[in-house]
Amino acid sequence: MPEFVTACPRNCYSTCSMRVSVRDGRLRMIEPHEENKATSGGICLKGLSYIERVYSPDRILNPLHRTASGSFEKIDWEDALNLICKNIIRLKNEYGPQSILYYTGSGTKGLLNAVGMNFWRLFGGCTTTYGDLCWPAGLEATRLTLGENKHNAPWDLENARLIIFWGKNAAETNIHQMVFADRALQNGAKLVVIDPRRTQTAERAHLLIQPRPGTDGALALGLANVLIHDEKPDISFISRHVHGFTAFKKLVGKYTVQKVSEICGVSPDAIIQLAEWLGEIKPSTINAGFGMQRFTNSGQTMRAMIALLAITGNIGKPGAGWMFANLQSAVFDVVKDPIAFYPPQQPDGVVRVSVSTAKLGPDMRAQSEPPLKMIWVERGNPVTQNPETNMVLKAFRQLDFRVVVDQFMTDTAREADLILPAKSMFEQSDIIGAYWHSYIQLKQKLIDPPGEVKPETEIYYLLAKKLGFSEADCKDKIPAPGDASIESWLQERILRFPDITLDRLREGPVEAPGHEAVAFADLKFQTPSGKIELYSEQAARLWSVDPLPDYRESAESGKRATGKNDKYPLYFLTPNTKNRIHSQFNNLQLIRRYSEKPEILLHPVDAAARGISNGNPVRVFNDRGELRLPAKTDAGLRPGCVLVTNGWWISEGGTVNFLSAARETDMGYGAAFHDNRVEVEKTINDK
Amino acid sequence: MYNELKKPAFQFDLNRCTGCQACAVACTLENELDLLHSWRTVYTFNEAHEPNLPQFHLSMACNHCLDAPCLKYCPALAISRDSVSGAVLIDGGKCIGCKYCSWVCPYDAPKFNRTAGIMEKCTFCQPRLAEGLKPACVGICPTDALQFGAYTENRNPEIPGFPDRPVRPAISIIALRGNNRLPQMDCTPFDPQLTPFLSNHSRKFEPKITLSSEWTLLLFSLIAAFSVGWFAAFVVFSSAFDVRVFAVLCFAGMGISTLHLGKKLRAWRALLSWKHSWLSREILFFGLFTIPAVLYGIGFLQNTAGGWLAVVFGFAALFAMDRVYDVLPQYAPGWHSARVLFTGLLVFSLLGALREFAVVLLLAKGIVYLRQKFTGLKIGQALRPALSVLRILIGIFLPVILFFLNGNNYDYKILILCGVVIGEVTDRIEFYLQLDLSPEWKKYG
Ligand code: SF4
Ligand code: SF4
Repeated sequence: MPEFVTACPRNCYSTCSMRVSVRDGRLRMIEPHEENKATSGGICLKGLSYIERVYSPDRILNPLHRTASGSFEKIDWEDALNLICKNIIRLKNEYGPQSILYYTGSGTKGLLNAVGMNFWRLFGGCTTTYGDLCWPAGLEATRLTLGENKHNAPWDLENARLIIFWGKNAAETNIHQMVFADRALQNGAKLVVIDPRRTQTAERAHLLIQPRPGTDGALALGLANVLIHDEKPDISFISRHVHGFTAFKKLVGKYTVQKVSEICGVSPDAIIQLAEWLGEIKPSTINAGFGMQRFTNSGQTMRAMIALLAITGNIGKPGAGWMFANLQSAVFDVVKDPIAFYPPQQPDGVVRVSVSTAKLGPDMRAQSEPPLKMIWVERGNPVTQNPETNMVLKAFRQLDFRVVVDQFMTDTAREADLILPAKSMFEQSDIIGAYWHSYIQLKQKLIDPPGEVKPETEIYYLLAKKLGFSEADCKDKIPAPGDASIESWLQERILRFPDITLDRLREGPVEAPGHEAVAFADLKFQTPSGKIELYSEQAARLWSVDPLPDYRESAESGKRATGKNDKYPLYFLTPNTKNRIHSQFNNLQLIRRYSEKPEILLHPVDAAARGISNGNPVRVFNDRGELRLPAKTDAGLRPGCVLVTNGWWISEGGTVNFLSAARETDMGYGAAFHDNRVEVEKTINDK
Repeated sequence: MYNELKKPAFQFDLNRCTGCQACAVACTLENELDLLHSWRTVYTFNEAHEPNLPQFHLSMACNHCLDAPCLKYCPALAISRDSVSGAVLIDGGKCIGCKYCSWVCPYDAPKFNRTAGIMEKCTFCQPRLAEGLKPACVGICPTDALQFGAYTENRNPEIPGFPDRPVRPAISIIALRGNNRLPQMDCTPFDPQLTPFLSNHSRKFEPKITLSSEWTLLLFSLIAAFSVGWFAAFVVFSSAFDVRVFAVLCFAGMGISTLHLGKKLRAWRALLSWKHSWLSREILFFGLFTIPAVLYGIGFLQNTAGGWLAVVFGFAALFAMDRVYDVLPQYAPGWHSARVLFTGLLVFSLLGALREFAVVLLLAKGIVYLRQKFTGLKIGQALRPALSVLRILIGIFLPVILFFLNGNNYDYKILILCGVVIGEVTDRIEFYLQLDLSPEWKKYG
């Protein structure tokens, strides 16, 4: 049976290398590729479920047009393209091209994703978003402190003697990392998990600390306080490589164990225990997750966390460091994240970068001169995934024309006037990087798109033809359809890296040129001071925050209780699970057999206080919206926290973003949608 | 050639498995199963996160036991051991779909394929082994929790829920690292008063035996007990007998018993394993009872020895029928009051006017019944008050009292018989309801 190499392009740490067997032109089985040292163990259930996803009877295979009655009917490409041209030309003439919002999500990685924006530029412009839903606060905090977002190779974790998973549930979101954590444990390492819930990752840990959500910054400062008090910091490392230690020392003086214990709701013993380990066990690695940096104070939180490693000399060594994001494979980007998604300092007058991803709903409605009239959505499902679903829906429904490119009838697609069928990862070749390991990989075309599916590049190409863009204009920007043309376009991008050829990539993954297995081993930091900056004037200048990573209560913190907050006493956790990548995959039978419907987890204490037992129907609500779900008790949650996993569709029982707020993080233009409180009440079962 | 010392076996490390389900999905895809089914299941312990217990997962398919009960007890000789890999394989062309292998398997490995009407299970991925590959689940497991190695005779460590039965399963399980069973946790200590708010947590598993699916067996076993008792009374005491009714009863019983098979046309295969399987023997003996009994009844067989022979086979059939359930690993019925052998004897003594013996049997059954009720309650079985009342009052007290009121009175005889029938049916129903064959790990959660 022929076997081909490809890679999973999802927004997932692992970005697995795969071997795919094909029988009679049909994908049959997916297996790991041994050359990717980070993911050679295996493929997760989502990766396996591609076999179903590609051939799912629910897949959209034709352009679909909304009829007057509101249902969708199949139309052919000619009509679909004409409809698009008619609308975008009219809008351009009437309001200007910036009345069109080009919205892309993180649904699939690839260099060809750039073609969309190339098209809109040729068209004369558009409006687009800045910021990102995922990780900006952490990226910016890391950039401000260490100068760059990079970390040690994934497998280096097995050299760590102390591993802290801080707000990261690797067992579900980065399962391959558990292999290295387990090896470290076998060698006698200590494992600490800091998370408001007892996660799968916590199960094999030595210590689980469950702080009140949003208070991790205070916890980090408290740990630093104990370390400094016990004279544990690595003074020689600090004097050579750390900027602002004296000021930092003064700051953490305020964060006594007692005070931090009160802020975080964590016992003094646990704080002292972890501080002791941090002071004595070397090397230490902190794996920081993304969920924790979606609070209004989280940039500062992350800076305080990195400071712990800086003052203990845990940077630039094997087994040590700050594992947040590893952008070493982003060699094709001229400007790397997070800067790449900031609004330009000087608007170019063509593309208006004026809609905050974090505040999509309100910002879409607030645009003027011109107001938004149309949206084009690609690789995303903003209706369920961006904060404040009700606001996003409102903004969508005010538009004249909505185009959504997708494989399935998502809640966003349901809002469209025109749905265009999207390719799957096996239907067009592309090159992808990763953000945990540093492999460059080829996501290879293995089968022809089914039905009437056309890759996005081809859609843009056909539109360009219809709009009469010249060959010369399109050259390099919009590749012509066909495998040869796509490959030569990709070839063009990798030309400057002699080690990376398409033929080599067809064999397996290649490590990015210049990648470092131990990041910052040279102890050079691209910060203004050239050192690790605990004190950052840049932070203060760019984001109007304290130059030191001081702690502030987050927007919806219970300690800020205003009358309004008291109405919603429960912290609402909305983590990702092993079953989905955001809102992808749960529509498949192979996944749904393990995650049938959304439910809300409550600690038995909170359930009992509300007279709720397992399985009872409940209403979760705040001023922004509500969800109706069955309750499930979980004694592993921190009391006062309730949890619904992220990514459910409205049609499956409801997205958590009905309840989240459209707010930005303190830095990086991230979405602070985990800063969220709710109340839960028992409802009478409707049926 | 298959070498027991080098026999391949699964290895499973409890420390590594995160319950990710990739193994189970890999199984579905590799074996091209229906997307909702898999031959491998991942069970989670302590899903509710009870603070004093660890949470862990057990990924289970077939353990290709060296002393495989499925292979031993399959009545149709449909299960065999692969000579090279040692895998225990079900031959889909021979399986009659009686599901008995799933009853005797402590690991719930054989799964019934409704569409095909046969049992299927993990094969160690034979085609992959032939190519020198490992089974798909092992190849896919992202954490290397599931591996493929050589069988060792070492017993598995004590793992809650893992039934370590003397069947020599080809799996070695690596237990949780000793001093690291549970993270040190810093949250509100758990108040036992809250336990009710945690209950009903475990996923609901489909019970393997239900009354609605197994009513045919229930009927068959009762028909067998009554017809054997009746015929024996006729032979020994020349009590009243109607061979037409008797023949209809016996053949209907046999007919009904084939109804639960996935492959009814292959029912004859059920006899093939008479050397090993009590299921085959039960059917064989019942046949050896029915034919001469009918012949004797119509007077074709004159010799009383023939009648006596039929009686012996009849009781042998009842004995075998009880043995069928005795070998189930999860369930040791012991002296259950619903044993068909005793039902047969009861009917025999009733119809044969062995009044005192019948009374003793009835009272003994009553005592056994009450005893199993009490032990059942202790292990959390349902009380089923209505059935209990029916069983005790109508099935035991009523006949005993009527006996003392002069059981030879014809009206009373009918009433006594009715009471006994009701009592025995009720008891048998409860027997099936109590027959909980779910593997131990299913009771966690
Ligand atoms: S979703 Fe993540 S873990 Fe799963 S196959 Fe894709 S990259 Fe690997
Ligand atoms: S694939 Fe491995 S880690 Fe995942 S559930 Fe199966 S055995 Fe456990």
